[in-house]
Amino acid sequence: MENFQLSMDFMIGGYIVFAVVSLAYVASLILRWKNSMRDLEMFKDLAKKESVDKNN
Amino acid sequence: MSPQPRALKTLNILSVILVLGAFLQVILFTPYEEIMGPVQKIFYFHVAVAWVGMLGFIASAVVAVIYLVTKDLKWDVICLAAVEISLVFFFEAIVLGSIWARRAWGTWWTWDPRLTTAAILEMIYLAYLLLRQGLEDPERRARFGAVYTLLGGLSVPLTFISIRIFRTIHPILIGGGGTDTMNMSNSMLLTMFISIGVFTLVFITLFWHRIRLGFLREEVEHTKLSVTE
Amino acid sequence: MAESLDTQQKPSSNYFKAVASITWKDMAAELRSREMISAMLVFSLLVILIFYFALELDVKARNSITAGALWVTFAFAGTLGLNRSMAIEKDFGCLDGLLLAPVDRSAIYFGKMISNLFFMAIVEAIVLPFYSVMYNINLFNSGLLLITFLGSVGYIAVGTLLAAMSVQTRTRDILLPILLFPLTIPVLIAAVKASSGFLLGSAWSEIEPWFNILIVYDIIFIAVSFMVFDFVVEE
Repeated sequence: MENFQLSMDFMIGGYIVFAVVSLAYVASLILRWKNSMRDLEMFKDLAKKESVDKNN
Repeated sequence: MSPQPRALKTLNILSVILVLGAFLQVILFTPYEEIMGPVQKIFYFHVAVAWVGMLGFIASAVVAVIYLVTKDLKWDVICLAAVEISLVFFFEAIVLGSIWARRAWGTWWTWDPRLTTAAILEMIYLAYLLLRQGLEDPERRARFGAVYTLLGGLSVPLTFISIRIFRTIHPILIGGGGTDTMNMSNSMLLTMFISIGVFTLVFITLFWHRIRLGFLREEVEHTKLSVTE
Repeated sequence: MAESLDTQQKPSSNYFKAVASITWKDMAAELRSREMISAMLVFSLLVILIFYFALELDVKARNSITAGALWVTFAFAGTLGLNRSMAIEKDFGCLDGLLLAPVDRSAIYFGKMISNLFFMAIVEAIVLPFYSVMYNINLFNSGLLLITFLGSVGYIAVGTLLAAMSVQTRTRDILLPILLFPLTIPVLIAAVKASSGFLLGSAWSEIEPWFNILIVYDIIFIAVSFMVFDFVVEE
């Protein structure tokens, strides 16, 4: 029975590692998306300002 | 960047539900393997993510050829997406496999052809990322990246074959056999195929997201250039 | 360079002339400076000395380890040479000159590959007898020499292509071994196993699969490198 418990622990450990790595990857996707979106907004604003400056 | 299309939103929800479903199927409705016990249940997700890794690996090699023929930078974005997802999933497959091996064969690592080839694939993909990092010009980065993925796609099968011959000449001392000797009942096989199907869908979803991220980053680069000019 | 490319002749002989002139240029330059070969050579000899102390190569261990030790030495020395030979082209702008020459670009690949192979062969020709003397093992075995040649061809075929790539990156020489080693693992496995098969006097049936892998690898990678080299030097 002790063997069974150990085997169970390994399974749980395995799936925890799996979940952590998967969630970390999804989180990195979301984070990179947000950062890129922020950068895009920033550069778009800059581009707008530049064109306004030129017109003045 | 346009908001997520409805198909992608559906895929998101479907992926989450199906992964949870597959997990419940593995935990609750699949019998324990007699000898190995619960740890054998790692096997289902292990095979599924290894399968997804293979999908990404094949996709990246095919897309690399398409890039070299068409010279359209969008294929480079897709190639990078395939490589990145493959890298993550092969990593998971190796970690799961090694946890399983610790119980089944008494060692964290065996020089099994599949395991070793997966590790070499990770090295090739890491080298690919390093190669991209060292190049500024997007067009050259795409070209070199495609050439390297193509070479990797050709060398990996040969690596697998050579390690396999290597192993048969020198038999494995610890354990031996592996999945080939595992007694799989029908319900175990069913769970395995369910997991493979579910993770194929997860692959498609993640691939789509990663490609969108790639295009967004390109857009950022373009806007940045238009500002600095 | 340019004068040796006689445009009056048939295109095919023109191609071979271009390959030969690139190879010849490299050899002549190396004969004059002897920079690369001497560096590769001293490096190889040092590695062999280090192996003695690191692995305590006693008489028993020698037979089984020799092939591995030799191939590790060749692989490391090979990356030194490959890096150097492409870096020279890049730094002195020779590559740009070669690209302007009115000849198919793959001629550059074959020219560089043959000269790299030649340098590697010289290093091997000195390392093998040196190793034989130092460790008292007879390495003059025609099978072993053939395997050494086939392995070097595969290694250099991929290495020349990747060196042409890595030399254009920011990280340059650091990158080449990282790119090259994972791709050449089949060559290294097959060459080590076949060499040690010949050294231990194994039956041909045991060596044959390795021999086949080497042949297949060489053919595939020379053909593919020939096809994709254009993408690597394109400006």
